[in-house]
Amino acid sequence: MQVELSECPYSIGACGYRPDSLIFSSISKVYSSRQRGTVLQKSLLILAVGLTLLIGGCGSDRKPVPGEPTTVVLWEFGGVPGHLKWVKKAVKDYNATHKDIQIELEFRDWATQRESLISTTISGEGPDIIRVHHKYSVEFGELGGLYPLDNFEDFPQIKERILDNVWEQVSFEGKHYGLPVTMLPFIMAVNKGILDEHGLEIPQTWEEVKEIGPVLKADGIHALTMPGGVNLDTAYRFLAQLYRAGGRVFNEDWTEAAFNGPAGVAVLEFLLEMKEKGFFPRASAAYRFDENAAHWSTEKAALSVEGPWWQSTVSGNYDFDLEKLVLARVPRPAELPGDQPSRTLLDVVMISITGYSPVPEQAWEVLKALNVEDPVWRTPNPAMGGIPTQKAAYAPGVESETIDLDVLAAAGANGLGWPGHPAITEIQRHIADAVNMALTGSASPQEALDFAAEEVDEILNDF
Amino acid sequence: MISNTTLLHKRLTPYYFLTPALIVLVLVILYPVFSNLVMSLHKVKLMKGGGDEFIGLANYAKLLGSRTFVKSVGSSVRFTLLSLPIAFILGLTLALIFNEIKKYRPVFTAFLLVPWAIAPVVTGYMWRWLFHDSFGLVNYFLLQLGLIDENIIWLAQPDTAMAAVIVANIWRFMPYITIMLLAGLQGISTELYEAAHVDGANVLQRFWYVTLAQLRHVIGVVFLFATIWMVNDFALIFIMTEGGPAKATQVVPITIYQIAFEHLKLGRGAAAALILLLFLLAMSIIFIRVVFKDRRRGNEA
Repeated sequence: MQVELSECPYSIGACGYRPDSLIFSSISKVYSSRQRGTVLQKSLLILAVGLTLLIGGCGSDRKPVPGEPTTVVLWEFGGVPGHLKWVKKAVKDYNATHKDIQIELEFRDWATQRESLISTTISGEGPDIIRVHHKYSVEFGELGGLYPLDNFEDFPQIKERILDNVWEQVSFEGKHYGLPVTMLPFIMAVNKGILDEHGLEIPQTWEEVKEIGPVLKADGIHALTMPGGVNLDTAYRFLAQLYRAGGRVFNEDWTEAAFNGPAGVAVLEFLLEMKEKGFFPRASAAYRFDENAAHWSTEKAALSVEGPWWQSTVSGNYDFDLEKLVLARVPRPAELPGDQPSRTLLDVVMISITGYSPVPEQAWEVLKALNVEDPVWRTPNPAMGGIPTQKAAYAPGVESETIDLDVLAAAGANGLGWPGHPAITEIQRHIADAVNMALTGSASPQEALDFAAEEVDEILNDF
Repeated sequence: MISNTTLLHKRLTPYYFLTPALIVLVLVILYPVFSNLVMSLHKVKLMKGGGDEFIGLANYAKLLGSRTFVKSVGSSVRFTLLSLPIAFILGLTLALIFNEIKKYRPVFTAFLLVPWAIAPVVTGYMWRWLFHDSFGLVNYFLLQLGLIDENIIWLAQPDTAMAAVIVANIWRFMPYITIMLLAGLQGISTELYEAAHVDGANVLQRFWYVTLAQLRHVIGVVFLFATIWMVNDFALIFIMTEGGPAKATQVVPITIYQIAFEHLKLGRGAAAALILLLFLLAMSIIFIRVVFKDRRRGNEA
């Protein structure tokens, strides 16, 4: 079955937003289209960049004309069905009530956002507003592809309405390149059914995870699983555990990598020990998101480091019985090896105005109306994907149907994203390579992380 | 008497016919290659008007000093050198068998082309799941046959991952090799075999001195094209392993992709692509000179 792209929820390779409907299930239900799409997207990207470089950009001449409605183009990069339904209605309502500004809504595949940003940034032509992953705020903000919201007079008032800790994710050198609207804290997906059958409690620490290992192994079940292949899924899962262990990616002044410190090494040693004892899949070094989801959903593992998207992924793609799903905090070592407080890795979806938009003021008005003032952002709603970032959504008396919202909210409040560095994708790649090398036994945890740190130090020195 | 103008026109006529082809060549090959060369000497800034910084050969120096790039060259060489001979031997065997089949040969040939006709992305996914540690059919059959005691984690170990992508690559390329060699075999005159037979040549001698000798140029073309395609292969390996585990299958095109389109270092990516192009060009020239040496001599004579 192939569904329309517009029905597809978030699915960026790295963060964990996933498609739960883009499935061509003739071979297997565990075969997601995300990666099949990946190569097509790569080809399109190469073609797009090539063509753009070849012909050069042709700047937009779309300017507001007095007496005529201004068109604001909004690109929605995917979303869960509930979100898509909401945005269609919100745009329709906005257009019906605003004669001076009309929104032109276009849907795109979540997985193509970086490619789109590259080509539109190069050509200087594209939408006015985009809804994308927060990590692009710095990468494309620094390149001029995104507009700093600080330029708007009423930005401080808007900023005040959003949780303080999520702003960090969309800022670079004091400028804010997007409005964080949805957050996705990394948590641990637990198959409570498996744990109950074996009389086990949800583990809170690495030590407890290791303790449940032998019990589950006796029945051929891995205690923990995660993607360990050479992809950004791996980097995210590593960082989720690094943050919980009190580690950090860079040193204080961002001049050197710090993920190769005691916390990073401890994470890899923990995973390797789990693997060697048979509590963690041997094949994880080849797993992408899909393989890992298949492994967990077919009850070959009890725990996985994931996020709020897990519910739709495992039920939509694998018919997993959600009664068994519980969300818990990612386990951490009883004694933190790192010098930082234990934090939660947090992903954020943001709304940005493009740096080349000829109508930034109008775009800002649209952005506020749809993504700040709309009441949908003041109640956590599982149909909308992640959880909202507005402080009002967590005020006393707000009722929500989101499963384990307290866990998600606590994790979100404790959240810390990837450092907002312009070369973050490259840095993530080096970290993923290091984790993969350690998991395959090609290098010790320290060697693998040091190797990646060398590469990252070089990148940091370049900026 | 022919006027000077007519003579000039006559002399220029071939060039008129060549012009459209030359224009296409300039537009689709020379210009991109030249742009690539220029880009490789710059630190390319993405934004329009950003101004690229000329850095000379720094991109090349960085690449040649990069462990990842050097390792990926090794992976490309290993991937090609291990795939090509096996694919060739299997392809030649199949071609010899098909050459003996007189009935329904087109039907068999059509079936044979299926792996070659399938998009590399699909082939990659198919083999990725065939080699899956838990759900893969490869492990299932090996277990059923009693050849292994436990599932092999094919794509999670450097050596087995390389073996897996080579198997998939051979499966994909073999039909092309078979078809090319089959066409060559059908062009060999039966009189040559009869003459060899009369001269007392046994089967092996006939194969060596007639079949292979007559196929020499076809084999040369097959090797040349297959090498270029295999060295340039991206989709199959990227889908199957993404270049892992531990970069064991990270061939040069994957490295170029990562540098240029993941890390957005377009200048360095261009330099890497140019190195690959020069390598393939040099290899092709040497190959053509060696394989078609006798033909060139014949022409000169």
